[in-house]
Amino acid sequence: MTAIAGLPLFMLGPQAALAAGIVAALLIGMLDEAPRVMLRLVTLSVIGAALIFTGATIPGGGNPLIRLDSLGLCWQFVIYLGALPLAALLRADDEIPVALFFGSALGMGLLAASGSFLMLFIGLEFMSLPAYLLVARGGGRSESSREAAVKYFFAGSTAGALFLLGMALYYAASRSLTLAPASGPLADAGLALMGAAALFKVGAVPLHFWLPDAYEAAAPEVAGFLSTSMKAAGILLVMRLAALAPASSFARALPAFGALTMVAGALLALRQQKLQRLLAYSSISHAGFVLLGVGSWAAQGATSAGAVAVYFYLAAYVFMSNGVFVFLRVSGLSTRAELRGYAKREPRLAALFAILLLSLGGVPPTAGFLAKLLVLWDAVRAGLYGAALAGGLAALISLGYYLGLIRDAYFEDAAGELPEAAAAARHLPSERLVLLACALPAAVLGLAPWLVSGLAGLLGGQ
Amino acid sequence: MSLSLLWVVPAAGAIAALAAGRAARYVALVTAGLTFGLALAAGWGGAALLPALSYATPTWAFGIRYSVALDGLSLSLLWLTGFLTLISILSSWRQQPSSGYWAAFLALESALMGVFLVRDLFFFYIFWEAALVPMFFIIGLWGSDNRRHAAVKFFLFTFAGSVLMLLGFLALVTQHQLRTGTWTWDMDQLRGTVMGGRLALAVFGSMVLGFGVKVPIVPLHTWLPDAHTEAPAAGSIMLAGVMLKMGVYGFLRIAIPVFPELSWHLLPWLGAIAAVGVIYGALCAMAQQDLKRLIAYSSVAHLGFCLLGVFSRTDAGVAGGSLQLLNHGITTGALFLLVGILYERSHKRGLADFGGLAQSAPWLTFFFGLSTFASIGLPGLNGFVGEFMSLAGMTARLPALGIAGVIGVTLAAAYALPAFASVFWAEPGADSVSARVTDLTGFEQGLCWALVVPMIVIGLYPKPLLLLIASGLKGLVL
Repeated sequence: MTAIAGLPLFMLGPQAALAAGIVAALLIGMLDEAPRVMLRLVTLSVIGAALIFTGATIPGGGNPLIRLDSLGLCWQFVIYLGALPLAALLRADDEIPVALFFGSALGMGLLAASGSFLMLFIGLEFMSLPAYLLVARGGGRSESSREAAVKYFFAGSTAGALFLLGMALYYAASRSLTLAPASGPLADAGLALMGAAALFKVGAVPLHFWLPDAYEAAAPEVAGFLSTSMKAAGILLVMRLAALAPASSFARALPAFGALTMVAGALLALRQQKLQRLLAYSSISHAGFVLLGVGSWAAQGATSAGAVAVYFYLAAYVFMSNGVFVFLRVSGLSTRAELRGYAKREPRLAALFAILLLSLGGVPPTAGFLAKLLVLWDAVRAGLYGAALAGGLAALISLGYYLGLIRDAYFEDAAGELPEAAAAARHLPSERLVLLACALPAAVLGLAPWLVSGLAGLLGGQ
Repeated sequence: MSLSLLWVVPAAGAIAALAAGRAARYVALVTAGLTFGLALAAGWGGAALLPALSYATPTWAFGIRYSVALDGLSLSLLWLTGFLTLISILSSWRQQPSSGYWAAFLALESALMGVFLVRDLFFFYIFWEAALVPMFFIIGLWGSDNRRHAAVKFFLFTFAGSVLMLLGFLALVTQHQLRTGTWTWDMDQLRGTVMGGRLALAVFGSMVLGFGVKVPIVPLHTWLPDAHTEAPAAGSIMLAGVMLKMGVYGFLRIAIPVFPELSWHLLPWLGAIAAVGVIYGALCAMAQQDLKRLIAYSSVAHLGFCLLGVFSRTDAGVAGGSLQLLNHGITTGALFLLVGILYERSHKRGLADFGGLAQSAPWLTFFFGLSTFASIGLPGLNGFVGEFMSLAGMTARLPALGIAGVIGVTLAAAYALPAFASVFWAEPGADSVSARVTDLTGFEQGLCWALVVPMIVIGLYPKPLLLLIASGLKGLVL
């Protein structure tokens, strides 16, 4: 069989690789004395294969369920890219988290390739269910990982139910499950409900309450995966919905949601003393920036090539956010107090951390700067001056804690004894390598504005 | 292209210094010397050749491209940057062992050179902001007691202004595209962009805030006393000597040329802001008991003079204000250097901590006195030329503001001379630390001569420098 319902099978190569990866991981787990290196090899090669297949796929084609447009393919690429650090760092002594990880990534891949509401819903649930379990397995800096996972699960299920309800309403108006424009009050209501579900997944304020608990409970590298790949998938969902009706109330409310999310997220992060929780709130603030980008994009006609600001932001965020979470794993630190004097103990790791923080804060010439500039520029072009001002304010507030962290690490003296986790941090070469691989692009991508026109071409399908 | 070496060389030097470990200070010295040499060489051919040195890449995306150019205004500030970086590095030659310190100064030089070189708003903003990072570390890591707070405050204050300014740039570029159909970030092409009245006011206002925080204008100056006081001596030299100039340069290069008419209409308001800075800065300086803080506040007043000249939009005023940028850089650099030497020996900075230094440290007294006189604008020294021309320009335009400036000159004498007298002439008090202050070593005297000679030369014969600077201002703000 070379085709499913008119679609050449090789065009779903990434998804097929991930599905095969699940099977392979479970099979390796059945071996009595499976070498750990085998599992690690599978993890890396599957995500690598997904990346290569995505890059090799030519946009176009599809069937009623699957749509392979340039936008979706570009998004798949960034989703798998965001999964790479986790693939390199996931503990290789157990096959279950590997299978869960592949399952979640597969759901994201399906979501990005879907051409109908049905497929969107399947993708949405497929990516979420394993994520609940990954959070429940813990490994983070919080003692109550199960409680957080249950909270996450209920919030996620509510979102799923909302999406289903919205889908039904939209279907009542359009009489079709394909992603096609429809009008009328039913369609608007359906869109709003599905949109709410998508905002849930993205963690937009005020639908963010589950997020800090979940990110804090998960292992840092898992939190990195959730904050990059999962968020990119959620953002794509928002974009698919907004593109159906760029003039709908849902699409027009996005800049306001974005402004609220980035300011509120930054303000909440300001007060945190636990590092992983602080970074969770900071990821909320970043999601606000991306939402503002999506809103401006929709206001300007929602063309594929016009999504370059959102795309660049997510791509830059893949490096920045994964980087800081990997740093938490490498350093074994959990509170700001433990961070004090870190630069004296580990000058190189501290330097990488500082670069990542400056990039998250949007200080030139880092990648985070160009990302923020592009999003704010989009907002200005769409005439959303108020939201752009909120963006400036949020960037300023967020610098308050990013600089605060640098201040802790560099300017303060170490206070008291280190906790065991930090003192026993092993700094494997592989972990350092991943951290470096995240920090380098985060440091210099801002100097590459020529990348932007290339990305716009890719997104537009050229 | 070769102009880019001016920022590439120090950037490469910064990386090399980080890698060099114990030898970092030699890397820093060689790099700073080389960069200063390059800056001098760039102006060798004379002002007429400068435009031929410009370079631009093709447009990359949305009108963004990398372009550098040189004129008299840029050149004079490049010289200042190269010169003061060299002085800063030499002044801390025996103090700082860590390689990060030297790398930070080279990185700072690289960013500052970039600010004065590029003609593309995108890269201008990158260099503008990138300069904050090394200074943040210089203050936070090597400053005095309250350094942590001062470093964060410095960064956040200037960043707040810059973010607004960036939004203004974005609106400007977008409006230009709407009117003309082409994307460009080029400063020269954006000049005189037409846009709606309220939007124009908002964009211009964002630039006034962005550049104004840096100058600083009152009431956006509150970061300055903390940052200047807490920074190490070499950091203060760079802060007051070069970084404050970025703000005035922004007005000259961007804000006024882009909005020639709007800024003309707002001239009384802008002039009033400058005059408030002159008076307020002087009054605050008068109340200070800490030498470093006093010089910091005096910078607020002096930069007010520069702005008075620039905002007057007269030939004499603008040229004098621009020359005053250089003058203030040299004199304040000298003052911070000398206060740094005092602090290094006595670990005190208060006016009341000293007294009678004229007997025990004659060289110190000589250089400090000369710099003080230059700073308050004594005829024959450089400060007089710039201040006089600025005031003459503003008086021709708006006499009331000119008079306010003259009052400021008097106030400058009223805070600087008593401070000088109490440190060097007064009877030392019971808990005076004057005994710990030995006179300048030969090396330190050399450094001081390097700063004092230009003060005298510019004071006596400013013509070539003025002509050079004025050649750059032609067609820009005049």
